[in-house]
Amino acid sequence: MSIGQRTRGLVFVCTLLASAATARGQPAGYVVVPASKLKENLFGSCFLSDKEGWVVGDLGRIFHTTDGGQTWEQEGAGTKRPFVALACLDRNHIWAAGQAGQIAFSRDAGRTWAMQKTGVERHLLNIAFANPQRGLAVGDYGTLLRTDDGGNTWTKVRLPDDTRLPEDVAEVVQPGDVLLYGISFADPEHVWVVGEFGVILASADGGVTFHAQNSPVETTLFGVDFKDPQNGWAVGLESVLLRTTDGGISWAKQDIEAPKGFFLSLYSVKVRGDYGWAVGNSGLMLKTTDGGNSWQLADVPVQMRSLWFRDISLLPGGHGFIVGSSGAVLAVAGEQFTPLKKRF
Amino acid sequence: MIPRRWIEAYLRFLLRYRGAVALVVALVSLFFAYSLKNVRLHTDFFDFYPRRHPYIQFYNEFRRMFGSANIMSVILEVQPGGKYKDIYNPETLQKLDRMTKYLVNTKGVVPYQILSIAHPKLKSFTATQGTIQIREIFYPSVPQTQEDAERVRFAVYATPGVRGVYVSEDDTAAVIHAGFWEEALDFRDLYARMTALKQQEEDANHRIYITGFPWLYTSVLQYSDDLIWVFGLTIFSLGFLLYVYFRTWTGVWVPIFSGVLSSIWGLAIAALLGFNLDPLVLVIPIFLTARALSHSVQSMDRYHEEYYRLHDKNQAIVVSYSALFPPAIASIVTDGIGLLIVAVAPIPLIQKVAIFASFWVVSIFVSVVTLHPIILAYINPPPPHEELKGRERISVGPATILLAAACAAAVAATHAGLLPGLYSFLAVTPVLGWYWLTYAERLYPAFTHLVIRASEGARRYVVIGFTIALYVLLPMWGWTLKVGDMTPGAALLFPDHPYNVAYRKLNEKFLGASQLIVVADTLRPDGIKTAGALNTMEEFAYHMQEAEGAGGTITIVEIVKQLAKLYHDGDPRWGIVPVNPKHIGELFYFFTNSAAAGDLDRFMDPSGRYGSIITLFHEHSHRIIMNAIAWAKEFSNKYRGGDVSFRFAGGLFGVLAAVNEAVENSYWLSLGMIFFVVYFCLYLTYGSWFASAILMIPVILSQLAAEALMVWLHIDLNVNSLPIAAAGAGVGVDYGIYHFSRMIDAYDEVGELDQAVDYATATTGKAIIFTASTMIAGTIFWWFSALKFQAEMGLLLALLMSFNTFGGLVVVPAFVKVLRPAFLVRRKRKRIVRRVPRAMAAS
Repeated sequence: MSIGQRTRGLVFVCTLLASAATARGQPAGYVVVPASKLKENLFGSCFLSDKEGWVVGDLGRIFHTTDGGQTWEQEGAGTKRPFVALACLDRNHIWAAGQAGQIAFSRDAGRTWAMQKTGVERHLLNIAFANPQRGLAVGDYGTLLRTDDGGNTWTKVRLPDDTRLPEDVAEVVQPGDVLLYGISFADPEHVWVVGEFGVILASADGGVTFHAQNSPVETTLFGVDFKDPQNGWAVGLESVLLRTTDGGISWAKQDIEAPKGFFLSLYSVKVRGDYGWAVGNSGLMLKTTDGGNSWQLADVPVQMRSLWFRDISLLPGGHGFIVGSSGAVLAVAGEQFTPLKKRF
Repeated sequence: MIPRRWIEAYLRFLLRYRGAVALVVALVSLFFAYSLKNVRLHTDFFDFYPRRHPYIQFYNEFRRMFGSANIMSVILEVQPGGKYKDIYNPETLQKLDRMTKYLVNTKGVVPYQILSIAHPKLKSFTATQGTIQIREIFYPSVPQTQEDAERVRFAVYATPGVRGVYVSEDDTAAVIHAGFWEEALDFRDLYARMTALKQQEEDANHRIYITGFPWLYTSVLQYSDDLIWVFGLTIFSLGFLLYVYFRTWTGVWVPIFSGVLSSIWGLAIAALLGFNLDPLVLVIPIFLTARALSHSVQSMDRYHEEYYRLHDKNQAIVVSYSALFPPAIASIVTDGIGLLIVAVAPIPLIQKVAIFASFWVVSIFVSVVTLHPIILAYINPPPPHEELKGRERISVGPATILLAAACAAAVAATHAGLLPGLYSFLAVTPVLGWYWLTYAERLYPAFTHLVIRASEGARRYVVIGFTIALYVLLPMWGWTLKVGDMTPGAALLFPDHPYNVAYRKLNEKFLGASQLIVVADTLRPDGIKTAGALNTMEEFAYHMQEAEGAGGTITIVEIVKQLAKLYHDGDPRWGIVPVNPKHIGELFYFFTNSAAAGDLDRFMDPSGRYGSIITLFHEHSHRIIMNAIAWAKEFSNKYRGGDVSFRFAGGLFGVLAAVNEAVENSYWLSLGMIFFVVYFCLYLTYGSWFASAILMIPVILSQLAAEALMVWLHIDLNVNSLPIAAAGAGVGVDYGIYHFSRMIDAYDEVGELDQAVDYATATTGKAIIFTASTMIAGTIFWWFSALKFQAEMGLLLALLMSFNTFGGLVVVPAFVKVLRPAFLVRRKRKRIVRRVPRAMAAS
């Protein structure tokens, strides 16, 4: 038995003990919150199944559910600085990234968290992992971090110099200083990053080097999603929805029927199979049932119209969750969504 | 005890100088009557506040900073099925704008505490084309087109803390909150203005609902007119009862005159001391007038009795009044001190009531004990009793059945909703009047006989057993009596009153309107502008949202987060408190630069030392309030020594918590003191601890009954009901005193205890039953008041008086007969038996 195996064995025993403790009742220090009592603004989510997942919200709070969001166990990494994004592969690989360059990692379903060394103080806005080793994190002021060992070491990635910025902006902003908001791995090698001024960066070597792609917009892009190395979507300010079918060689604006007169944004987009969602502020929700060819406005009840939705977790079968302001969690199944609480 | 010869000397003095004494009393009364013009009938909110309570001190310290706790809420709702499906149309929004401006110009409004989406102080935060806009929600101006209205919709949707608070969650209603300074509130003006507003702005598509404490008292004041007919009915029925009892006009006007004179003295002292009378406690003065009346009847009755025996006016006056003096003085002094003790409550309203009510009771000494002998000396002696046969066309049995049937029909009609209670009552009045007029002579003896029989033989043990059972059983409910509002909404008004309808509307459509304000003190200027303080406030706000009944919280943190977010293209992931104090400072600087001065007043003080955490609650029942404050303190205790210290408690919750705590503490304190003083006065009167203890049995029993009744009838013990409940406790001993004094007199004459007790019951008992019926008549008419509070208080006092009568007439004789107090049995016969008791009235 190697040392690695022994460690894993030990972790297994610990996890077993921990779950035995949960089965008998709540271990001290964990608060269980019903969906109706979840009030925090939720910035990010990550779900392993339609039952189990995590969300992050205000004050560094992390919540874990194993019953599809009906009840939440409040966890934390010992900081009040908020985490705004999550990445998870299984119960033993969960990362949370957020304010002041912090990334926390849990290998026990979120019971304990360890801070990883990122070497940056900038606000991190997103994190994504292609496999237990390879991940990326992006954030404020051109921050782009990469790891190939599950986050034990994070290294800064230089942004390409060929990024084309709008003329008036180019005078004051360096291409390397652009705020980056979204990441999407199509596979461990192909990854895209989007951000301010419509910037779209792509990498074909797992994030070691990036090159700028031609973007049809100059406004900020908040989210990007590739369901395979060819088909991808990006969303952003002024309810922009971009689509590519050739791996980003060409991007085109997709027509959507957004309510008029409102200054709307889309923050996140996800397409899995035929189903997909794009969500934003003022209760804006779009859905697709034809694999992202066309998008329709979802019928959002008036009580939810002042909420914003910031993140989507969509599983291959079309099940998933959308999270947003005031503890809003929507369970998604196909083209239907159900809010898990009545009052916001 | 006052030596009898002093009393007789005083009476002879009165009779000799009756002209001079009458003149002095008349002059003083004229002066008092003149000062009645200064009586002010109005509610001052400051009268409710216990000034030395820490929450009130806190409230007064921060009132100028974070606003008044007295907030009126005006809801504008678009009617379902009407022209509009939500408020986002030019017509509705223009109405809202006019209403907001109208409220700004209302007297007493705190200028910076008018909040509605139509008020420029409420800002929307949006980012357009990369620039952040901090603008009024109606920017650029009041919507004229549907497009403008849609812009308002967006501003509302985009700004956190607007929906649920100022616009209902279903978009069909908007609310204007207006804070009022306690000292500048003008209820009459407010009523006129709001009535006019409703007339102007309500139409087929719009309804206006008004609620909140300023409006509650404005609504309550509208019932002041009720007082006139309640007063009229009371006087009329008292006169009727008196007429039936004495069958002479003298028997009517002399007691009524005493009552009126006492009222003049009592009200005048309130005016001379500069007290304002709260309309809600006016049931007490009427109750006290009835007390004066009852003393008057006791003495008139005794005088008649002596006159028929002695056939000499002056001698009858001296004999009757010298016998009545000790119990009269004892009960007046006990009542007076008892009422004065209620002033231990540190609440100005209660103190004022206690002082003037106490004076009122003491004035009975003048109006009855001093003036009565003089009046009686001037007027003709009562005519001889005429036989009253021939009035009975129907015998008493069928007549009683007829009366019962009429009453049952009236009750049924009221229950079926055919007639309001008052009209049903008025409908049976002729039957009741006829019955009383015809059969009263039969009823009094029958009743007295019943009472005497209650303590006959072994029955006395049943009475004692029953009393003990009540002592054990009543506290089971009584001790669950809690302080403060038990019912959501205003317990002063009936549930279907427009105020309560509006209150429900507010809580159903919005996050709640009752505020708990806690202040975070950072102990240094600009301390609020740090991540540590803001995070703690945010954490506290989340903690408060978990409190029972909480609808939401409002803090400066929401604004900081919103601005931080807008600085970065509006992405929610930036909507967090920055770590760097410099960045926080920039956000504040940006806000103050682009907004008007004072826009942050609700959230922090100008120095940046204090920040407020406002929690909105759906109701303000005592339990919710106390839970909320305990819940808040739990957090603050855990965070002791952190970035901020928390200070409690402002807003409506803080004020009500203080009032409730003061009421609760002073209720038990004043009850204890009243019982002690009553007991001590009894001892001074009779010189026996044991005999006094027997008289205390019904007093305490009535109190237990009152508490149980309050629990059963869902009457709240609050700042308004405390003086009434305590007054009821303080004046209950009178019956016992009159009765017991007569027992002593009778014992001196008869020398046998059982006989003496029965004789006392047969003579005084009749008067006591009558007085009790006048007391009940004096309070029961409030039962028909459209004001729930007065209806409840009337009923409570009436029931309390019934209990007191029961205790004085039935319980005391039973105990005296069984315990045979040494004070009575071994009493030296002071005087030689002068006469054999007349045949007992009942037998």
